[in-house]
Amino acid sequence: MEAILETFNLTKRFKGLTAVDRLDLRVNRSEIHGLIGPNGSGKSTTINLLTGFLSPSEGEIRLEGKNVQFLSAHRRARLGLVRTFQEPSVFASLTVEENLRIAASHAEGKGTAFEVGETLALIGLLPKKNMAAGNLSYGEQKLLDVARVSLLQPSVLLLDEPGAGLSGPEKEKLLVLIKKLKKRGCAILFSEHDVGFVMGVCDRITVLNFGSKICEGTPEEVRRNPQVIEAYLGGSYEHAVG
Amino acid sequence: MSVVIISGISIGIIYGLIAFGFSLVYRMTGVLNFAQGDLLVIGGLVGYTSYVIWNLSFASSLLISALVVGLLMVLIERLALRPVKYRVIPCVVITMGISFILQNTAQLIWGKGGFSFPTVFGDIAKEVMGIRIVPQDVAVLVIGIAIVLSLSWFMSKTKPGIAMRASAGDSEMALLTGINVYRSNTLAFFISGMLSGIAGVLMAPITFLTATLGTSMAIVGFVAALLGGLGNLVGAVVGGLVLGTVEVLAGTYLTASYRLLIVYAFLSAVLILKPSGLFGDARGDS
Amino acid sequence: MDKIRRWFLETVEGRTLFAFIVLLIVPWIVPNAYTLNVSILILIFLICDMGQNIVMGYSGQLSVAGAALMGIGAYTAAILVNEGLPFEVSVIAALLLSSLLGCLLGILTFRVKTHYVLLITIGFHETVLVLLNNLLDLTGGSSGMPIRPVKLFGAISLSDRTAFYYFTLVVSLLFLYIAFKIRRSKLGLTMLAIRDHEKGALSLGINAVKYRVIAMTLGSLFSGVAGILLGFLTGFLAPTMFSMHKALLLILVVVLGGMGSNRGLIVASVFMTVVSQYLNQFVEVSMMIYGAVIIAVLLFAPGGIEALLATVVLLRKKRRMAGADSS
Repeated sequence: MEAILETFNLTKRFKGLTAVDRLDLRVNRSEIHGLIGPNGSGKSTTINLLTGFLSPSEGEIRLEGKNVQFLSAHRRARLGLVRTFQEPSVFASLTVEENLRIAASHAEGKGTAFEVGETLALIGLLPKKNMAAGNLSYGEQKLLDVARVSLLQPSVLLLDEPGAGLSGPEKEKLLVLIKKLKKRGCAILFSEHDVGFVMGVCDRITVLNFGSKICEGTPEEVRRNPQVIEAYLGGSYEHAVG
Repeated sequence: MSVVIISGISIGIIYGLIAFGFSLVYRMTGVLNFAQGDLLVIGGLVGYTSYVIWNLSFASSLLISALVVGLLMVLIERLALRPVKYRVIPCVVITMGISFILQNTAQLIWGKGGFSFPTVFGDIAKEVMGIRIVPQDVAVLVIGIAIVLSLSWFMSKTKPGIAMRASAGDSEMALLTGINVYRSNTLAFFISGMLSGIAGVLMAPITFLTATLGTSMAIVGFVAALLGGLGNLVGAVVGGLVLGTVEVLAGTYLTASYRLLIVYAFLSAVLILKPSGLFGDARGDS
Repeated sequence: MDKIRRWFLETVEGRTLFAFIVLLIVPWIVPNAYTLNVSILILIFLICDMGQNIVMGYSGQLSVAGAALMGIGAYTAAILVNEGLPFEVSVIAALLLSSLLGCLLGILTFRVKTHYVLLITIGFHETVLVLLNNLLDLTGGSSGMPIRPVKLFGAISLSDRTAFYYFTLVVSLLFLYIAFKIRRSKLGLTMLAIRDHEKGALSLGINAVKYRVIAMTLGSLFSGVAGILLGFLTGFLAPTMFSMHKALLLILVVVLGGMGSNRGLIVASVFMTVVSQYLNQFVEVSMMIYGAVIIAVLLFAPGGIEALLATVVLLRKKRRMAGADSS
């Protein structure tokens, strides 16, 4: 299995705090990769570093073998390295449909009008397509975010806590989108708190603690890893694993 | 030469006071107060009324001005800024509106012409201990330094001062530790207004006060604060000193009318090289 | 027949043509030269207000460079005309210069923070004004500079008020048309998207800086046109016509209209121009009134006129539905 996104020695230091410490991450093509870890372990920072919203103190980031750590965020998005945010990032004054159309129109011929309609139906927002995106519910906005970004036909999609704030049925729609993207050959990395969700869906998982990687492997391997168990002692992990 | 330098530093300290007030409010609430300069003009005019018309002492005029403008600022904060929750663009535009109102009010109450504030300490150069100085400038410098020192003591040694620095920008954290954030904000606005008022009275004998001076003073305060790092209090004072000195030097040795241009060129150079100012932003939000 | 009516009322092209036809009769129905003058001013300010709307409303950048850019356009055209160059050439040169400077401003403000845009545009304004006031040989300095009378296409004398009115009408409708077309285009939507959530736009591969520069360039084009028209209307230029005060009024109008809204802007702009003519009598309190209005709008009606219009439309719909229900 070849790697589509890799980091080497990725480090980010803020004044006195090392948020991400010599991280070697490896995401393979078409894989669903989970990024978990207790609060403050550096998940969001990692995603920001990977997508260009933060610049690294040290280290390299490679997309399909090419170095991207000096490229700006929008350039990385154009190369296929895309992301969503923890909080919704919809364009509030545009309609739902316009949000999707804008994404498609900047996708350099990759997104089509047909796709927009299809995606709208998939996330169940077809009846609301002329509504201002700012008026959608929290969960609907987050779904719209993922739908929007999927129109770019990305090769790697990084989702920052996509399930947070979503209801059960909304999480299912999210899964449908994710699986569809995987079928198209897109690799997906998402950070999550709901460890059960991650275990059930991911091909491989990376576990962070205090900015360092403490484990990487299949859900089974992660489940049995003593360091991981220790990091989550008494937390949601034990509860999720049962 | 010494006259020029002292003149530069004394103007600089006044600019530093404006910049401090501007930066303090920004640091606490993220608000860019476009009316900061007009508050200075009002301070100067109040000072004029009390010193020239009511014939009170200079010190009393300073005090009255400080109080009046401080209260004015608190009023502005309560009525106009808090309702929009300190959001950046609405606040900038609102303070622009307030600037209009203040300028107009100043014109109505005190008339359109400028003010000639009589010199308080003497504006003719003298030789003291072998150095040529203008007493007025030295007086301003001394008073300015005294104020800066008291500010620094207040901000680092008194409870309200420490509370203000702690709650800057991170109100949730501050609320958790029991600091009354609203009171801190109000205090910050009061101090900011106070400083502008004092700066106005200090500036009055040196410059010709007109109602429209406010806009340029606001720009000065903004620029000086940016120079030192927006929100950085020490930086603001230093920024003001640098700005004042550069301005006076440029005005003396180069054509006076291009003085502003030089200042802008200098400032732009600094900011392009180090965008967070000489000492770095204190809030770091975009 | 119905199709034609719909074309006139619903498409941008139709509405523009409709407005043109309606406004053709203005010179015939106004009572005096003063009113005709005000009408011309209304059209001119529509252009520069729209320019500010593009920079501020579509793109979210708080720029105070509007007045200075108008001044650049006006003075450049005037200087060239006074040197003997034909009107059309002078105008094109002036527009190129103001667009270029606008583009430069846009590039300089690539750092997002509001303070930088403010700072750079304030600096630009001050620089332009200092130059206008001090390059006496070129600009006549603070006492002003008269402009030679010109002929459009060598034939139509623009000193004739009525001719100038029609000229301004064509130009302003042209630029309003451009502004409206942009709004609904990919360009306009992208700008609004960047304004709504810049990071979200970046994550879609949108180059936010590029679009902000485009917005600034367009806005300065509009400002340049308005400045040129203003200059040739009065036949005289002085730096005070392009003061910071005027720049702030541009901001006020955009806020009043509702940031980014085209319809609201038109209402706000016309309103402002008319009111400011009236307020010229009360020069003492005019500033205060502007200040009070802008504060009132932001505190009580932050969506501006656009929001008010939208509410009215909504209320009418509700009343109609309630009426239909009860019958």
